[in-house]
Amino acid sequence: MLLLIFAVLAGWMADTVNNPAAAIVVNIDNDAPAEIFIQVGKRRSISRVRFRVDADDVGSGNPVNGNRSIDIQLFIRAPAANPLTGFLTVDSSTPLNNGSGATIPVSEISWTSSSPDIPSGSFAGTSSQQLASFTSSVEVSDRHTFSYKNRNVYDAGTYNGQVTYTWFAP
Amino acid sequence: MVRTLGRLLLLLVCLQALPSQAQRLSDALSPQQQINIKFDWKHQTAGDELDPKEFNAVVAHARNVDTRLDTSDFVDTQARIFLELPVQVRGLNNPQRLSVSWTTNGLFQNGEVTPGNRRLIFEGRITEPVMRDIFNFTFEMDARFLSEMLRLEPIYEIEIISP
Repeated sequence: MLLLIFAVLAGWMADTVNNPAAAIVVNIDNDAPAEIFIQVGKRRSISRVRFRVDADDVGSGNPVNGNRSIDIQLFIRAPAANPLTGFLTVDSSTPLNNGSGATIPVSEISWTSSSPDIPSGSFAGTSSQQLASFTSSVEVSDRHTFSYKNRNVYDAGTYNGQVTYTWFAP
Repeated sequence: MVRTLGRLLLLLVCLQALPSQAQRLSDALSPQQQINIKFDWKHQTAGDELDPKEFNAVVAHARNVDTRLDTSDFVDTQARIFLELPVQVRGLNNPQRLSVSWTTNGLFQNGEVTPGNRRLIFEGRITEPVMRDIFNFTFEMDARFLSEMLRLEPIYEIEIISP
């Protein structure tokens, strides 16, 4: 009787170890490319900010806010096996000019950020001022409000200029 | 002595009455044994409306996977069949960051599973020695936890409900 019991138990236990190996194997490689993206202001256009300085306030040192804020969105993403670091720089090396030879350095303009991702600051008037760096994977959405410092007296007129943001991952 | 033997017999009867343990089904009859696919970003145009998980989501598809399970030992039994993923997946830092979903042509049920878990795909009487269905798999994970190529070996298990 004891032998019979053992045989039944052994048979019951044998069922639990009858495990043929899996046959189908799925290999998944990573083909997701590293990506960076930036959008400053409106998509596919140059966004303008205007500063209007009243004649009796020129050079007073009272900052003049721009007429609008600019949204900056950027992201960098890459698989964990190949992380990336991206750098945000701005070129403000070309002064604003009135078309008649008078210029105002872009360093007379500062900005306040809505988030600490891209800190508040002033344009340096250089060709490659680093504003921030981020390591993948990050999404950043920031809003910059610009201000003209209004510290000096310049010839009357309309001054135009352009700054260019560059977002790159070496 | 007689009372002891009686208890042993009763124990045996109880053990036999329990649902049988899961047994692995061979899928070696399936024509394609190696499936090589690639992850790509789930959202090609990322934006700030995506949460971090979706922003980093990658997907891969294995379509028309002809799956044939050897059920010859279980014909005319009432059974449940499960699809299981091992908890250890090579190339995956965090098992919970991978999900596998599938649709079928109807013999087996659609479903979704994560590593270390299993999902019921069939319940009923086994009538054929080979059960065949076409699976369309979708593999999705967070790329932040993808350290190298993933190697997955889905497991098919059967539990006998009644002979």
